[in-house]
Amino acid sequence: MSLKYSLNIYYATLIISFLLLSCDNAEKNNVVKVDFSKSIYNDKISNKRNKVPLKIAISAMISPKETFVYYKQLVNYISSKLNISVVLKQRKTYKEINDLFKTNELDLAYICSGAFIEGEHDSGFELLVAPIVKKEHFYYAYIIVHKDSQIKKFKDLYQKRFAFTDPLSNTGRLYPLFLISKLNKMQNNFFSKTLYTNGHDKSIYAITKKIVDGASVDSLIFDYISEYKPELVKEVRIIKKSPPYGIPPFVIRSNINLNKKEKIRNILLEMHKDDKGKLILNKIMIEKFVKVKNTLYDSIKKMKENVKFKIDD
Amino acid sequence: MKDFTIKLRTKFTISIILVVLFFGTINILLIRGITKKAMLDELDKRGLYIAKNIAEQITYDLLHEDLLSIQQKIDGINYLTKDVSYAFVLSKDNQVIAHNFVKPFPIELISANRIERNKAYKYSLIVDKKRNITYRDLAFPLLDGELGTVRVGLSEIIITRGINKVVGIFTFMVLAFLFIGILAAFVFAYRITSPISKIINGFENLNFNKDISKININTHDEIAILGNKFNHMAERLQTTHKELTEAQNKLIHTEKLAAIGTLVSGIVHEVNNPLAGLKNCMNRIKKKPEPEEFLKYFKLMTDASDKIEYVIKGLLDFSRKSSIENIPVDINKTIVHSLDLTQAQLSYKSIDLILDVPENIGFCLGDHHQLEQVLMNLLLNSIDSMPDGGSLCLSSYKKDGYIYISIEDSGTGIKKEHLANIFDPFFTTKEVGKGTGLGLPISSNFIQAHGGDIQVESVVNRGTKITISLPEYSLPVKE
Repeated sequence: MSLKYSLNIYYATLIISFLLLSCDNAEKNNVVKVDFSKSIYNDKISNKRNKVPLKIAISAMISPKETFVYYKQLVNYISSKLNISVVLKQRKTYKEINDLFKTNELDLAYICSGAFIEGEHDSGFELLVAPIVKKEHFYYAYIIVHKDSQIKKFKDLYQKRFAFTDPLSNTGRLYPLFLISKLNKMQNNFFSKTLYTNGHDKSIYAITKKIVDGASVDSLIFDYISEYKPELVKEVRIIKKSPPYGIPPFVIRSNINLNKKEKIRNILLEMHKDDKGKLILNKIMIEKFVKVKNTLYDSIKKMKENVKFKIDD
Repeated sequence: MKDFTIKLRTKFTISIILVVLFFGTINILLIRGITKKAMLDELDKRGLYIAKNIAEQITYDLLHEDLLSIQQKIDGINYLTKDVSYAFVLSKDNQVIAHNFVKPFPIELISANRIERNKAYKYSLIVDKKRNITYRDLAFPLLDGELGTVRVGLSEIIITRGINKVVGIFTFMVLAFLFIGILAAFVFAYRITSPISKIINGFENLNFNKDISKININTHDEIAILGNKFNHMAERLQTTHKELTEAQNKLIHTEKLAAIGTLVSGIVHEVNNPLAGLKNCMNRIKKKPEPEEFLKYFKLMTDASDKIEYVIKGLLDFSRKSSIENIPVDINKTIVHSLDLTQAQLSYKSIDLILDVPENIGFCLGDHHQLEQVLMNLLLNSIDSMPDGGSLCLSSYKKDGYIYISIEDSGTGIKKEHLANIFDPFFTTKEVGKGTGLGLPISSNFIQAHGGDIQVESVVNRGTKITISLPEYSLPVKE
């Protein structure tokens, strides 16, 4: 190899290298220059918040993320019909939702029947409408276990691990406590261990993963999951179904403008007649909304009166 | 001009340096590029992982409007990893919900990386104007952007250190290879060039007059074969040289004999005169044997016989095959001796001799037989060119350390087209049988062997001038 030839190759290499480096730097051409010293204070940020005309809450009957995904369209529908912006609020517990009504921080909510009877008189909300699911305005509690479990009956759950949904939940807590009360058996510590999942879907998950031996869940949620995500319930077996209870209702702040209340009620009652509304209802497996009376929830109230003991969590 | 040469060793070294630098540079750049890309990919993956993790953790809190938990989780990142330069959460309407800046939140950062709807995530390169630090900023939507965006910034400094480390190791390796390469080049070049040097020395020391020492190469490769070929070649050349020298000597002697042939007629005339004188003296003694006259006749007879002896001795000296010597030669003596031998020819051909030779012109180092033969050849050529007589001028002078001897005749001259060939062997314009064509080439060889030169100028029908130059030799001063 001659010296001149070697030098030529070397120069070629340098050119190639330069091109390689240029390519390397090409990415840097799309940079955004930011002056990190220009700032704002946090209080300025937070001041802008919470200025929304209508606040709707959906109780965490299912996990908040799923609730958000499923009910967002319903909330947007109401917003478009009212022609005002609506914000969807969620809280970890039913009680927190009930409390938001007390401080006028909430206008409308879809809450559990258990939470309804709990706050009916003192939470500052009143019954607006209730959904019709599978042609009835009732729902049920399912006592569920893992499909491989030896447990056949509710009493077999004695000294087992059990998952409640929420302290105010009807199907998720009140019903199994009611069942215990009928067993006359060491009511306080019937279960070896209990936990709150804050969502019926989470209770199903806890059974699937064998974190608990038994759980009590909302039939509306269970059926919904069986319909759309059957793989999530295939490991689960229902050992007991409760009698029918009044379905979780939509409640509205008692002191809200009457006109607004009626407007919202009508939107919900008419929703199934509207193509767009029907589509949304279909997705959340609700046929339509109907007016109901408070007496629909009397059976739950009665059941609650029978449960006089406290569970050792 | 001397040819520009680069030693093999230098060539090897430069080649190896270039090759190592060539591949080293390519390697470093490629490795740097690949490492950087891999590390950036890894950094992006890490950013995405962290952002996803934050999103997963804060979604519930955001849905529950638990700002404290969100802030705690954002702050918690600093404990989990040092790689994240900043992290913050934006609401759907681009309000800052939580951030982990110690200082107040940099407002320009919000709009620096906006994610389009339905995109899983988006990377942007953000440069801190003042500190010139590049961040890879990842925007990750919360519940498809319905809840807002998580933004995570990772500084490229983290990977720059890693890249520099890799490049550093490779640069060290390249330098190590360069060092080893240069050493290897030296060793390799030495192994190749040392036998070649032996062959070159063999060429340089090639002397056919002495015994040729064979070169010995034991590398068992092409160079060893070359060495053997050289030995064979040297042997053959020596044999050829010996034969050539012998042939040349024979030719020189032949030329000498030819010159003698030319000289003989003059010499016969030269010898005849003293011989007639001798005969005359003997007749006188025989007729008139008077003892008082004997001394006078003996003197005349001795002179005549001396004259004959001198002429014959000169001829013998000239015709003798002589060995070559390298001794100081008196130029005057050589000129006189040559003229003595041609004197008879000059007078025979009625040629006027004009002699312009200073006394003690000087010496040159060489062989007086050869120089005498040269002068004889040139004088005889001049004489031959003047068959009807003429003039011959022999002059000598010194200039710039050289002694010049010039022979100029008024003869027939040499044709222009023949001038270029007169030193070619066997070239002659003389009649067949009169010239061998070797006189001038031999003369030229002899003069060149003495470190001198021979120049010819000639005009047809006007004459020829031949000038010999010989380097002057200073005799050592005797104390």
